[in-house]
Amino acid sequence: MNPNLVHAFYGMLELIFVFFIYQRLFNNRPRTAVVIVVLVFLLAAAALNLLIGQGTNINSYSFTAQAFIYSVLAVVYFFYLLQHPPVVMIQQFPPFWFNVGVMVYFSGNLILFTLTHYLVHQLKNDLMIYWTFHNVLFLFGTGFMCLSLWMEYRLQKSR
Amino acid sequence: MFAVGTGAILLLVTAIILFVVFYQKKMLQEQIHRQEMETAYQRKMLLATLESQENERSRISKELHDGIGVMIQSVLTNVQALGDRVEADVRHDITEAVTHTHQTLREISFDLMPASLERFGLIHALKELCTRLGKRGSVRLVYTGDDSLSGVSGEQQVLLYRIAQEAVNNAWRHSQATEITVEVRQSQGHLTLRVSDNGRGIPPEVQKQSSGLGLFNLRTRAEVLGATLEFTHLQPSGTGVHVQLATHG
Repeated sequence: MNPNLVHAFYGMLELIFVFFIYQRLFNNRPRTAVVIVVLVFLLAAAALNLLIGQGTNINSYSFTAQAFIYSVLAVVYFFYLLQHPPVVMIQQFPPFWFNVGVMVYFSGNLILFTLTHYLVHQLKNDLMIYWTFHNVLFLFGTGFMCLSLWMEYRLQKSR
Repeated sequence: MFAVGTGAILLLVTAIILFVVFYQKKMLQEQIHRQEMETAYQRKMLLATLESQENERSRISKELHDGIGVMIQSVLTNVQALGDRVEADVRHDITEAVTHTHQTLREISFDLMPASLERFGLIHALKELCTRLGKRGSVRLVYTGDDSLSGVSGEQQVLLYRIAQEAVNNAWRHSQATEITVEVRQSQGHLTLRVSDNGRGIPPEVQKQSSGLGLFNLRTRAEVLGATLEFTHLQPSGTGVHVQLATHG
């Protein structure tokens, strides 16, 4: 099975999850209806890219757009945290580390995703450096998200 | 090329994260500072209110005692001077009514601000409170403790007296106690005021409410004093009100 196809569908699922997680983090704003409309639009664009755009190749246009959107969301969430500071120090607030994870992975990979199409054609199958960068950022991003989950678990346990 | 771009973005990301962390820390510190200032201001305002309340009480107490009290005494003298011009029964009734009025006036004046508190200090005023209230009802009031204090300012003594007065009144009115003990002890830079009774005790839910039975007044005054206030359930029955204050004596 072509892994790019699975990756493309994973990207769409991820879009849904990330949007609803951020909606919760922004205290249920904007309204769910608005989130759904935006999601439908973005998912349709991703589906179009899959069907008549990049097809079974790496769907880099979709991933670039997603990485850009997530990076903007992360910056806006930081701004939101400064406007509505949590009662504790921000480092002790689990969503802060989730946001750090999102920002590190997606902002870090933004250029990589943008240049994917070019790199695939230029470097042919020698994509070692591409994957090294991607995977290191993935490790850091996931690490921060795991830290966030662990902190949330400890908080729940202490209550 | 993309390595340089990615590195630059990661640097930017790190800068944003650090900015958020430090900026939030600074904001939190400012917020704490602002809250501390607000608390200090509120405490100052509360102290000023209590001070003005005490001054007003003192003024009214003196007016009652030295003004109206003297007038009533004068009326009493005049009634007694009437001699045979008024029937003995009528004279007796008037004398009794005026004496009763005078007595009530003295009690109100004492409750407002005992002269002994200003003249002789907390211990003397507490002893007088016990004696006076003891005469009013069937409850036995006892003062035990030190006979003198040091390093306690006049304002602190007034606040401590008000706490003791409120606690004694609560016990006297609501606890159905037969004995109330007031105790003041001073040792190693600490003053302890304890009012205990053998009544039915304060239910825990009332203690938590901070209202009713004058508990709010007790807490407010203790807060202004910077003292700790504790309620304890005594065995086999009764309540202890325990105030501890750091002193310079």
